[in-house]
Amino acid sequence: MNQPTQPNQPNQPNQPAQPMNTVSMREAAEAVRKQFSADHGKTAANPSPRAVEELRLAFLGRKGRVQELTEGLRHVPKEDRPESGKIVNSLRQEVDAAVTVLQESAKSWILNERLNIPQVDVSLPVDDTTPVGALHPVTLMRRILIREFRRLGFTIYDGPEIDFDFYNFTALNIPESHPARDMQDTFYVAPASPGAFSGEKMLLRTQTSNIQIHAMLANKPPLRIIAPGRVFRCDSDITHTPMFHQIEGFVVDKGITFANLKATIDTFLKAIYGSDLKTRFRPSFFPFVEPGAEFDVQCTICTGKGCRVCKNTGWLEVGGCGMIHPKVFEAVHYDSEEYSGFAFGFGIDRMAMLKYALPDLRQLFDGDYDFIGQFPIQA
Amino acid sequence: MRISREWLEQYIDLTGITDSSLADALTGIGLEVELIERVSAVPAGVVVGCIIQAVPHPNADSLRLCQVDVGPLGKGANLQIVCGAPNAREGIHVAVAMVGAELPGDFKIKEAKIRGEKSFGMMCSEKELGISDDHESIIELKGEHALGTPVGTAMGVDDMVMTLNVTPNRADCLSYIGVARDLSAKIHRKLKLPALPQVPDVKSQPDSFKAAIETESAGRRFCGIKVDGVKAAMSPAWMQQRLLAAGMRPINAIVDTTNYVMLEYGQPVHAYDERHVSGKTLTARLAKSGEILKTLDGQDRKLENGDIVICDAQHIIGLAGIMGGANSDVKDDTSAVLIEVAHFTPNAIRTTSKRLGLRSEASQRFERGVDVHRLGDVAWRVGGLLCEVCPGAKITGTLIDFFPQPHQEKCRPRTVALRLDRARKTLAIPDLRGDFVETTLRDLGLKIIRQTETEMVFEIPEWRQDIEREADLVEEIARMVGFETIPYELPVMALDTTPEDPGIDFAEDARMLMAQAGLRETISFPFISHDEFKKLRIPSGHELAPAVRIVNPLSEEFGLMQTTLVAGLLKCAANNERHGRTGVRLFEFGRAYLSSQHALGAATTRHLTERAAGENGRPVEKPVVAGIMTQPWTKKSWSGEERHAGFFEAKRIAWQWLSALGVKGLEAAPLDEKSAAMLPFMHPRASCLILASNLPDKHGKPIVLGYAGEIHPETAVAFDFAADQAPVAFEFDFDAVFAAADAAAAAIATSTNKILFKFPPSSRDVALLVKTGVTHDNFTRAFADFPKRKNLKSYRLFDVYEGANLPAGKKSMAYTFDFQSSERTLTDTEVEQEVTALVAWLAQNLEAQQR
Repeated sequence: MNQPTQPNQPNQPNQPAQPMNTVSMREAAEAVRKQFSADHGKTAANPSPRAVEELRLAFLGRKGRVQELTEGLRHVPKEDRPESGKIVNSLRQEVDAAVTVLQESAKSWILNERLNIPQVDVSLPVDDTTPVGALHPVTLMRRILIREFRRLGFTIYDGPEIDFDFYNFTALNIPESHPARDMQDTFYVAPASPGAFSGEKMLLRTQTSNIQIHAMLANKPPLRIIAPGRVFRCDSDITHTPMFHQIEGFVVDKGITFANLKATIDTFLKAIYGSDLKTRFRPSFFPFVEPGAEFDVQCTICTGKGCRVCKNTGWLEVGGCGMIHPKVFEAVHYDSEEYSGFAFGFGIDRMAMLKYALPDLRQLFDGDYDFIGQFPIQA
Repeated sequence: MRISREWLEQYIDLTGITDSSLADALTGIGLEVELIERVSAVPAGVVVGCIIQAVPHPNADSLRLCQVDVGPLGKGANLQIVCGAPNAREGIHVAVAMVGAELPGDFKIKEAKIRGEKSFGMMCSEKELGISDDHESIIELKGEHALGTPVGTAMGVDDMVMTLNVTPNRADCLSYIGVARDLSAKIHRKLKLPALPQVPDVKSQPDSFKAAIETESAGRRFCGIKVDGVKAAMSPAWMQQRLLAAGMRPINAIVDTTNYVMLEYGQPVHAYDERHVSGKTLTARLAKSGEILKTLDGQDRKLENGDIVICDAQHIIGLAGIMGGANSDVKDDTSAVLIEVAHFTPNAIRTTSKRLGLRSEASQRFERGVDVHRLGDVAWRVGGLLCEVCPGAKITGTLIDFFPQPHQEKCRPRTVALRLDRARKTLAIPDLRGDFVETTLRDLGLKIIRQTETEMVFEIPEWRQDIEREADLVEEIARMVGFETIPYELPVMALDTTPEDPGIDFAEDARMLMAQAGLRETISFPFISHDEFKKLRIPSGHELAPAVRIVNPLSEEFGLMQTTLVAGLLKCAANNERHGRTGVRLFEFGRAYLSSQHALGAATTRHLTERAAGENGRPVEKPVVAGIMTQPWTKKSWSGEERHAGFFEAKRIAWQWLSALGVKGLEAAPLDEKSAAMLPFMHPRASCLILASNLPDKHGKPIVLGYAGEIHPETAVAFDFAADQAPVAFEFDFDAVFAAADAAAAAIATSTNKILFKFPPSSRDVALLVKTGVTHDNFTRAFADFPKRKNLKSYRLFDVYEGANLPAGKKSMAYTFDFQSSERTLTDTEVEQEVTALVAWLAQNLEAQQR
């Protein structure tokens, strides 16, 4: 760092000023000019903003050398004043101009100073004061599903997770004696007080299909709805957890056909897995659809050639679907002669596992910080 | 259901159909083939060989010493094998059991020395291989196959066994005949039923025994037949093999026959040893609670009202449809059997078998319902087959049939009408032909009984209980035409005007913003235990205590539904800590479930339809979001020291997230006695309620959005954290957050003075000396109430200081004030005047002295 220029000590204010005339003023001005020239030289060599400002103050400041001369004019005899004034003024202009130039130099000096720094070690790690957050793979999968179904014109619907058996079973044509209603499969809820459920049973929904009933009871066709959500079953092993995620979808209107069902599911599966993979429909049974089917997509790993993931079948099971059963329409007071519809449902967790090649369902729900931090927010 | 192709071919001709197209056809009609296994009737290690030389054994007249070529397996040499069969001669191709092969009856082939000559293997008869009972001579093969080929392949006795996933509506397909019938309709080949013995003249035959059903609730029909002269010997090899392929263990000829017919027809059959049936009567009745039966597995079973039992004249001798009694079981010396072929009430069987944990092949079929009209055929079939497999057996008397008129009335076949047009429309197959429908459904056993221009009426056979209405017939057609022939057509519909809850998208955005605030999302099971409530210091009777209780939880740990997400997050965070993951920041979106409507504010009904919201007894399901952050906040690094997370870190995340969602007027209120009691798991002095002042509740107070702060040290310790390592946490009522954000958005939309500040602000720093109890919040309120406020636009606390050079009981709080006008640049004088007025106001209001 350069040393700031030391200005000469100004005269002591209480010291009586020497009587002056034009000659002595010229001499004094010349002395100041000489001094300035010397100091300016030093400053110009390294025009830091501070040095320039100190130089300015030393000569142009209230107690600066030029100001001192201006004050000295008071002691100059009247007749000498115009001449002496000119001398001082001329000196002030010279100094002022020189300082202004230096002030410009000071600006470049700062830029140079900012640029001429040692190389920053850019490899030093970023500290973790604001770590990067992450969304859960099930959330990421649900976002993709919602996006794709919205493109097809579906509306998202939410509903209760704890529900009466009417919505979860009865209205879905699952009779009282159906094995799915067993305590081995369904979590039942105790009433807060005796009779609180008015003779009905309350349970943790075993499927998102309860939303079919809620939505159809509250709305008139046409309907195009999906309902993602969590569901519960009394199951806990390597491939089952007591809670998991499903998405339900259904369409009701006049003249809805099985061909509509096939095309809708095919379109969405292709959107998720790629248009070069085939889809397949197999007859199956779910009490709330007729005809009922399961739908598969060609194995995303081996594209149908057969591998460990698809157990050499070339196909991956995705979910169940079918034409909405007339008994379901009866339960929601829709005329099944006028309207028809299809419904489908599948597991979101399984889809996420497939997408991210996860071996164990339970990993999704044990909240391991490192595990859940690794899934990028992307399509 | 395991289906052997070889056995299936007894009922349908499968010539020319490959294994894989057979499997595809079954899957295509809804009988999903889950697994295909190749099974060989012949054990491994039995291969085709050729006798090159056969000379008499030097030391035994009846034996021959053979040199046998087994191709590459002989490694260039012939095997020497000693053989006693009369047909062992040079040039013939034989079945060679190599050393190491295991033949039926645990017979392991070893190197041997027979009468002084070494023997390396065995040439086998069909009986030795378990493929027939022929043991006269060794097998002579045609010589079409290369030497060393497995004999199963060479003899064409290898089989394919498919495991079918039979859906619960198709009881009839838990049988070979059922599967063959479905297949016959698909591949258009005839179904072949087993031949039944000649039905003897009923009138001339005396009843061999009596069968009855006491009440209709026990069952509808009870058929029986008596067979004498049976022997509990080994059943023939073909029967054993088919049973094994189907997954059943052969036991003896009698039991095997009953099992065989069960798999054939789907109708369970039970055989009683006639000697142990007292009074020659079999009666099905409902058990009385407390009765006991020793079942044939030797266990005493305690019966309850509603179980169906079979009794003879004196005792209970069987648990109907589930398991026979030990007292009447077929024994080694059984010579006469009474065969029971009955219909029992499905629900009763299901309840009993579940309760006793006895799920058998029989109970499974009774549960799904058996074909009441076919019981007679099945009984005859059992009789006929027993006569076939037990030489000397004969049917005594005729068919016993208990099927009273009222029961028969209940079993009348139903009729279902089909409109061809409806089927065409539903399946989008406009050229679906009526005659195709008719023949297909006929092959499935449906009889057309009426036909008009528009409608075909079918009589539904008893075994198809699942066909109740038109849609079911449409499904039958769809299965048989094949789903693959139905076209792909996207629906053409009016735009859907169903309203969507805006909270759904808001929640998705809110998750994203939480991730942006640096937290990772977790999902945990929403269960909680009494023990965890204790750890949270939540006493019974507390607002968070009325949890929804699960009647049948997986374990005590999962006994209740969570009323706060914090317990789950604490568990999760502690788990991470145990695995060495520190500085964890997690959030979760979930629901708090409360069994009481009054708990924790108003019931939330966003997710409910009007109808559902009006139903009594529904628990509250409140959407909540919570987060947890474990220590340290920042780990030590090259740029800084390790830092602990405290109250302010929780508050910062909360503020950042809420502000990003657009919530305005956020306030933090310290916990008072009431709120501290409401949040007993939070640190009473380092936690706060978070309020939105722009959204007053019905009493005009700002609504509570949630809380944030440090976990109570006792709770932290209970969840396995060190007391000085308590995590920080927050939790929000998501509906309240949504409402507050919504109100803020609405306020922006309706406000008329959206000022654009074009003129520069002027800032002043002022340090103020106040009593230590004065809070920032006190200042905030004073600034808000400042009567001479004109241009004060914003303020920022930049220093809080308590220390040596200040008077005791005082602290300094320093603020930067920004003054700004929308009309012009303020003069220094204007600013100074407002500062002076402000300082005077603070002196009056908070006894603040400017330093």
